[in-house]
Amino acid sequence: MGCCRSKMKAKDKIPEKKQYSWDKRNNEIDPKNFIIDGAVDETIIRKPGTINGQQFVVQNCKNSKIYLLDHVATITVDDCTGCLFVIGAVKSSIFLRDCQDCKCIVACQQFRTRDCQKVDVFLSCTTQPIMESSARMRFGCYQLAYQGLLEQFQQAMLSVYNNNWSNIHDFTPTPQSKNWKMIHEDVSLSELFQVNSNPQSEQGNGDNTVGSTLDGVSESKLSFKNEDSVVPLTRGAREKRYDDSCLVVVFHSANSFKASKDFLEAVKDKVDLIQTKEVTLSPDEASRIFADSPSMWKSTQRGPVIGLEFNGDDCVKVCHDVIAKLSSEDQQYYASKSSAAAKRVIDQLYNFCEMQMIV
Amino acid sequence: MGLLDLLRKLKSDQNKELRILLLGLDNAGKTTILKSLASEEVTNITPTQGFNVKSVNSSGFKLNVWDIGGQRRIRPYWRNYFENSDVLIYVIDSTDRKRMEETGLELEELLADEKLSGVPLLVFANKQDLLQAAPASEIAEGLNLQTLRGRTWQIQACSALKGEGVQDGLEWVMKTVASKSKSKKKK
Ligand SMILES: Nc1nc2c(ncn2[C@@H]2O[C@H](COP(=O)(O)OP(=O)(O)OP(=O)(O)O)[C@@H](O)[C@H]2O)c(=O)[nH]1
Ligand SMILES: [Mg+2]
Repeated sequence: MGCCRSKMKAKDKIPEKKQYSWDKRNNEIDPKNFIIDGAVDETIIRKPGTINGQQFVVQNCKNSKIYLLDHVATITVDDCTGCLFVIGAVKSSIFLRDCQDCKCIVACQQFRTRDCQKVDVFLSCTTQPIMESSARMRFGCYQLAYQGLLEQFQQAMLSVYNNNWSNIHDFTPTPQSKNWKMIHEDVSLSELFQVNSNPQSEQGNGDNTVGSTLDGVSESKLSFKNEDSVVPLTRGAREKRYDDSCLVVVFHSANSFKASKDFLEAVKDKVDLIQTKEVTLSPDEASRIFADSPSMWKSTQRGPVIGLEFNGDDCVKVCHDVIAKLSSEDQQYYASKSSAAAKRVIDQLYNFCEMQMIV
Repeated sequence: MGLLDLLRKLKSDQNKELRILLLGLDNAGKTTILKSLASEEVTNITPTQGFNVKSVNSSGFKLNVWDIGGQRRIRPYWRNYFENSDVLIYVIDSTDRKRMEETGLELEELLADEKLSGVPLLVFANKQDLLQAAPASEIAEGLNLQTLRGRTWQIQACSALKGEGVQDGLEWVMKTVASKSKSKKKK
């Protein structure tokens, strides 16, 4: 036995050194170009394509406006005060730590904060956003557009239709007062986030100014208006203003994205958009969730469907009228038959989406 | 005796279940590693509010892997899961320079706990695919792993998101458990 044992050990000592992808990383990318450290009173703009899916770090900044108009692998924002952040699309998590008095627009897979105070976040988040030891936090729906942003969402593997901005989990709730609330729906993001047109403040110093000119911004058609936003403005957990609901399903096709946009455009100002989901349904799930509409089961199998929850007076009729107006030959949309049916299906659909998040 | 023989032997004289504990700070990538071990989709993982447990089959063994949420608020509950653990896997976000010290302190506390004494330790230096990742060797040094006594340990660089290095870590786990049970048997 002893001899066998030592044999194994000897073999262990000369393990083949395995090559991983990071061992072969090209060293031409300088990590320093992906850190913003200690900016004070600056406006820093990273144009689309300048981060290109790398990780980013922001730390120790004061009273600065930082625009990262790109897709990013992941980002940590540490020890910043009085800053403004506009961040296109984050593939995995954004983590805010020890920040105060900041405002932020960001789309991400995970949103996390710890030890933050008084941060306003206009958020698009695929999973449930969480906060810990943070207070006076406020959340609103992501509203942002610029050229290339939609492609950046795809590169970051985010869907503009999966947004849980108003469903926050607080790990450290306080009994006396809630640590977070929703931002008033009438607040104007343009006023808050507009790039200052005073050219002087456009120039930061040194390393931080890579690709930061005002030209770059007007070129990329930066907009904070909800009519331009790539992520539709949803009311989320805000109080419903009407009794009637309707669920519209946009079936998968080469132009289902446009079909959803067209639909949202057509019902705008007529009904409220509450929540949206993009989800793949198996045949079983489709027939369970839409038990009362067998005629649509087949269409749900073409690929991920987009679900749009509306609320408004006569909501069901409004949606059916729009479908009649928009529809081409092949079935593209489905809408609930009644408000009661809608509510039942919406519950089932959301339950299913939540179940999918559970490990 | 090769690894396979060892495993076969272990299989024959032990029940084939192992309890594996997956710990580390919030955002380290524990749940992503859990899902990667189980060959499941690793996108769309929500921060863990309690714990997740999964059974993974490896070389004929049933590994019950416990992934406990790493939020500061819920770390005091980690100890509730210590009992009867065969292996401790500690996950580190290799890019989180700000919290290297914090993660080191948490690990120290774990290793000082009686219930985990002698339990083999695998450290995953995760997120190696990212630009700011510290190499595993640097992390091992920062954590003073070299000074550990009375415990088998290993550090493994990995990227749970890309699925690289995770299996190599698991292999070490299987090998370690096999040889440990063998030496026990000898006594
Ligand atoms: N780039 C990259 N991202 C990763 C890797 N592993 C995990 N992530 C991302 O890191 C974030 C956190 O991962 P989780 O698996 O939720 O982390 P956790 O340790 O379970 O966190 P808690 O549940 O809060 O304790 C997610 O957005 C993951 O996609 C990796 O190897 N590389
Ligand atoms: Mg987790």
